[in-house]
Amino acid sequence: MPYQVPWGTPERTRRLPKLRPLRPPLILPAVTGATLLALFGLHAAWRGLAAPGPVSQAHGASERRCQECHTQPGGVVNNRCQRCHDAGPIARLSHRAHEQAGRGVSATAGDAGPRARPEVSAPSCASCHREHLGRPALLAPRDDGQCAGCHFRGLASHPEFARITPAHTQAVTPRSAAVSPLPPSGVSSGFSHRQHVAELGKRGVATWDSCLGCHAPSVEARDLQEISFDRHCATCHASSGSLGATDPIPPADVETPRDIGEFQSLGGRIVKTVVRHRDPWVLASLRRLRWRIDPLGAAADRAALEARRSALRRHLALAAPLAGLDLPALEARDAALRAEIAELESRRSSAGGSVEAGLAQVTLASEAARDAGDAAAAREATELRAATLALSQGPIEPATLAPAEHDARRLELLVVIDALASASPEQRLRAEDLRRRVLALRPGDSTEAVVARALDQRRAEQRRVEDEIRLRRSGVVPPSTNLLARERRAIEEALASTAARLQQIGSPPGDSIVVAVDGDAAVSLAALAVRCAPCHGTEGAMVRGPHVTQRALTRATFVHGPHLGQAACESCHAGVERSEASGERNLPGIARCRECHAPRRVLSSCQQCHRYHPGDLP
Amino acid sequence: MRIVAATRPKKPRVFAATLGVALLLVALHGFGLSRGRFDPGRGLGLLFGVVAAAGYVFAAAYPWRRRASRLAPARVWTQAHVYLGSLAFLAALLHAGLARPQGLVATALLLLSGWTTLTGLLGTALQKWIPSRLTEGLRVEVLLERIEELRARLVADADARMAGAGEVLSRHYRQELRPKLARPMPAWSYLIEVRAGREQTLEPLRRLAGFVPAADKTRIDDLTGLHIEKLELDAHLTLQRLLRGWLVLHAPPSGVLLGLVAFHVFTGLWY
Amino acid sequence: MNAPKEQLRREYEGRLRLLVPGDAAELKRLPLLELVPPRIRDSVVAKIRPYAHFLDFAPGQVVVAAGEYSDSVYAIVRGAAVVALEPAQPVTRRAQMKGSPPPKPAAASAAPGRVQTLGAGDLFGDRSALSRFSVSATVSAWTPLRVLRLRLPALRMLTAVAPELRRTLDQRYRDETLSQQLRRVGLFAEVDEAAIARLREQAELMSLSPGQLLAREGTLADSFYLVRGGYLKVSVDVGGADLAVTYLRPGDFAGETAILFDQRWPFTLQAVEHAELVRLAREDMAAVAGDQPRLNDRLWQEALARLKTRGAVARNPVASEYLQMAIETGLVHGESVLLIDLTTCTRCDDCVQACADTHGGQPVFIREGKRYRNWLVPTACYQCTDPVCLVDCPTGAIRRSVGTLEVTIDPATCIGCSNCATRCPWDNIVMVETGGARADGKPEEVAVKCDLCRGRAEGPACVSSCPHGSAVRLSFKDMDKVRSVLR
Repeated sequence: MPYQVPWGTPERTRRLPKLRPLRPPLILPAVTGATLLALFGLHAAWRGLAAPGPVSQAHGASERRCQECHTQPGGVVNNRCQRCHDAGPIARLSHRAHEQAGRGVSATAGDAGPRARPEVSAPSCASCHREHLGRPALLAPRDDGQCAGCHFRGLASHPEFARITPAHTQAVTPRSAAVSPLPPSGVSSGFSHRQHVAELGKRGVATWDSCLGCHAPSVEARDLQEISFDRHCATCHASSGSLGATDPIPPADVETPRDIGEFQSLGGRIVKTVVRHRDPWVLASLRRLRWRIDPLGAAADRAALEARRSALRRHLALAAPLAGLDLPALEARDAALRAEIAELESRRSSAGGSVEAGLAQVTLASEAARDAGDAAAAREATELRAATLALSQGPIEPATLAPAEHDARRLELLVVIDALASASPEQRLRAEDLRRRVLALRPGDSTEAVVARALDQRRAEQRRVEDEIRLRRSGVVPPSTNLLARERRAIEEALASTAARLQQIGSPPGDSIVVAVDGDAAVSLAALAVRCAPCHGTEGAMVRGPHVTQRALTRATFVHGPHLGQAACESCHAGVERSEASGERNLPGIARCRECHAPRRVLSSCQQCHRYHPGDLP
Repeated sequence: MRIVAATRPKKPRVFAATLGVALLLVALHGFGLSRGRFDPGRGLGLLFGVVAAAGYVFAAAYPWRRRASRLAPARVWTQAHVYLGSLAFLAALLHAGLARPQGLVATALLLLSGWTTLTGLLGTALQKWIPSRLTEGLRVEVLLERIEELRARLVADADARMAGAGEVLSRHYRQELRPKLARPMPAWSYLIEVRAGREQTLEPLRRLAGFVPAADKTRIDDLTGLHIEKLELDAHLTLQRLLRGWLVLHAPPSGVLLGLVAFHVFTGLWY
Repeated sequence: MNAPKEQLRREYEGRLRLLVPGDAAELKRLPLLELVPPRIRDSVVAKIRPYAHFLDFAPGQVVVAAGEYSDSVYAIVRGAAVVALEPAQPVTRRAQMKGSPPPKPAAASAAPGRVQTLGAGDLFGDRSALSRFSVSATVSAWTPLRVLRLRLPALRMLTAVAPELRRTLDQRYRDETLSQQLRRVGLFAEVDEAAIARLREQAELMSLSPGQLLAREGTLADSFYLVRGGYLKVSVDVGGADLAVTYLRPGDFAGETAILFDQRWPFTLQAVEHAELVRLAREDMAAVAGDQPRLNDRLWQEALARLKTRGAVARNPVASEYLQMAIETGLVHGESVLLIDLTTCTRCDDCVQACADTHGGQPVFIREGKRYRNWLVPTACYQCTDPVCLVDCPTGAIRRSVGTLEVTIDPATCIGCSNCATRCPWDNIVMVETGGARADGKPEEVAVKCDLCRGRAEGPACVSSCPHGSAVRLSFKDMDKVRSVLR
């Protein structure tokens, strides 16, 4: 029979295998995971296993020192970034600083746009600055999506500039020649563009070619040079170096002349024939006269400067980075902060405090006055005491003052403190403390709000000190101590300039702070400042600067440099040739920006004009 | 057409649904990109990562399908393993942001994911292709463990039939044919054509028919039949070994992958 | 199942006597043998001796239990027995497909209920022996009992030579069983007693040998047939080819067109193996159908269904091809046949592995067997409607409980005699070693077979564990499933 390949198995086996039940192998994942975890935990060098990529160039030195930035568990917390990047107490890089830089006052994000979420507290540093993307990666975020989370989606939905009111935007259309509806800036000088352009036109300069004569581009700043009298105005207005001569002034009202050559005597009065810009003799005489014309204003200025100096001194004291402290000092700071926090919390819980204790001084003062025989003072003290007690009995309704009134009241307080401090020098430290506390007040604040703010700040600092202690104990090297060198320099410079200004204001003549107002002095002021008045105002017996280069956009950075080559001056600042007051804004609206800054044309990302973190704050 | 039939999905609707879900994921990723810089550690990127990890864990639970047979038969588990595993890989790619990862663990994860998915799909292809080839091309059907025994029986059968054969045939059998019959000869060409090389292999014996007496001609027919059976056994050996052996490429790396995923999740949470 | 050891031993010893041929002298004395003509009596006795056994039972011992399969008729020699009648339970569709639900704990033996007593000379067990249905009632000894057990070959020989015996058995069948069987056929379920009695009288019992033609397509249809035992093939002639349409099993009927249409046979009927039929003349059946409108409706339904099937088969001969294959290879016997589609099977052995898991590490089938086209029929028990493996078990370990589909082997009572393994025509029962040793040093063995994973809620493990859905279970009776699955 021929052999046939069978259809199916040729012969069935009789043997049934006995099979082992199969167990799914868990051994491999378990072994792999366990090995990796062991390596990971054993040595710091192996922890690099977990990194999703190398860190950026700037952080490259910390590549293998994971615990400098990472907490376990918890990830990257702001404290760790602030160790190096925001080592001072001012919290320059915080979200609050962002809000303040944006608005001036914080607390509400209602002005941030339709998608802002007030209940969301500040985003952490690591949420925008993503690391581990390789050495060449840039840490600063580059996409608008993150801004759009709270603000607008981009230039197309950006509202009109805050400096331009809605009424104004209706009138101003791109390239339109509307001048009159421009609102004033609040600061004016007598500078009239129209006059000057016409004057230059007489000399043969075309209207729109005359801009760059004064508004010259500055290469380093990528912007226009600041207007300065000496560079731009002196050519015509002080061609001989002198602005002219003053009117005759009684010699008793002014400083003693030094350089006789520039003075003349006219009928018993002094005339200075050569008045330079910022003439020192004129300025000193003006200051002397001010104390006679507006003593309260001068005292207020002085008090404000003193307060600022106190605040700067405290900033300087605090601007010592934690890196400079060793472990015992850190622990001492930690203990001190905890004590402060406890005290603040007790203050918050015991609202109000004891009125009697505060009035003890008043009682003493009234008794002293009675003993001295000053009945009027004693009566005043008693009335004050009674009134305060009466107020403290009833419920205190918080009344919010308007910001202007609030500032005025604050200045009054500062003046009183200043007077007390100069009267009794042993109260200097207490006066410094009070000045700082008065400076920290904001309109609408209650005691609780103030204490809460202080508590927040102390607590945040205590957390940082605690974290630093932990890191030191685990052997992490502190960052460099010259981290805050720039801040310290800035504060010291501010202190120096404040001191200089205090020096210039001078002190009131005589002993008393209250000086009678002198009508003659006003005449002398007008005569002295006759050459200054056309450009400068003389309100309040002071010569005020014209602030010609006050920046219009405060929340954004605009530089003229890249735009000078793209468009002529008249394409944005149309109508300025007819402007009569320098205070008139010649700003084009945002629609003009959108003409070029649009998708698929010029870059129109948020980062073009705005920064999240404010610039250096002194 | 047979190729097409073998590669067609068993449940076309499920296949289409999976494709739809994949497109949806990609669209979601694109939408996320438009909203801002993509970050695997938060938001949409993290969601993709969670989906990918969950998919991998589900895929790794495949060996327990018999314990969970109350929920669904093994057929459904297998389909879920293939489809959800592929989607998990896509989610992992999207979690990484479709960019080349920089860290060691991240690179290893991506490579292992890709390897596991690719070998898995290769296995699916093999499992669709080979059974239809075996069934349609071969007559013999044999258990892998029995091939050796059947081959030995075949050789014994051939020896028996060769009893009393002429010299020409005997010599040919002894020198050429018997060694070939006795030795297993798996070959990769069986994967492409299950009857590969058959005519060529049988040609020498057929040609011999002109040189042998009549009695031997019957023997040659028998030997041809036996040789064909031997070749079919070889095809079975090759292809069934492949069907079982590809798993070595897929399962151990997937185990390592799972360990890596666990490590990755731990460090992400811990750090 | 967990019978006390003592009872088990007694049963075992009792059944061991099956191997002992009956004593010739005692046989000749039986009244049963007096029905045989005297001149051939001796030779008949000599022929039937190997298949005739005398058994003794103590009071209370069970002779035959309900649900068992028996191939013997019992004649009481001495003593009395009681018959406890239990209602018959039909096999449910679920059981057909998935096997029976897990067995409930065995209830205590039922209160007597309806009983019947039998005395010397009475016969019992002939119905189940001849028709191969399970025993319908338990018979136990009332007093010390001695019975003669005549196995089927002996019974056949006797009925061949003793026509009166045949008539007696037929009459008994007619009186006792035909009604029950008629009722069991759904067709007559609602027919009243009187009509049943009439049919019973008019029914004719006939047998067919393997391959014998019962009716040819196109001839005049004049009878209604009921199948008692065996299988019949139903086929049509399509363009010269003989296409199998379906097959008839015990309990099925044929000839409804004879009653309804007065026409010729639309099919050819042919016996596949030994078949026992009940024949009813057309006029008698029509008379009954005329009275019973429900019966008429059912007949019409069945006729239509069959004509539809016939049309479908003509359009799609492939399914018929499968049916033909099943008839030839015997798959039609099976209530649940495992088939594996080789074009999607990856030979992973998950089915065998799952089978092993369900059966304590020992799989009960091999993934080998006959192959038809792309379908492999592995050696998993087909759960025959009419299992031959049940007879000859010395311990009763292999059984099929009433109302269940699967035939199970109890490993505790199996002694490894391999009778069932030998009897299965398809080698679906295999002997496996348990690891112990017998008294004679040979390894201890038990028989194992597929039991449809009885006790597993999801049904057979092989089907539910195939990762590609290649394994299917079906009955060739369900032509719709055959057509949709086997393509």
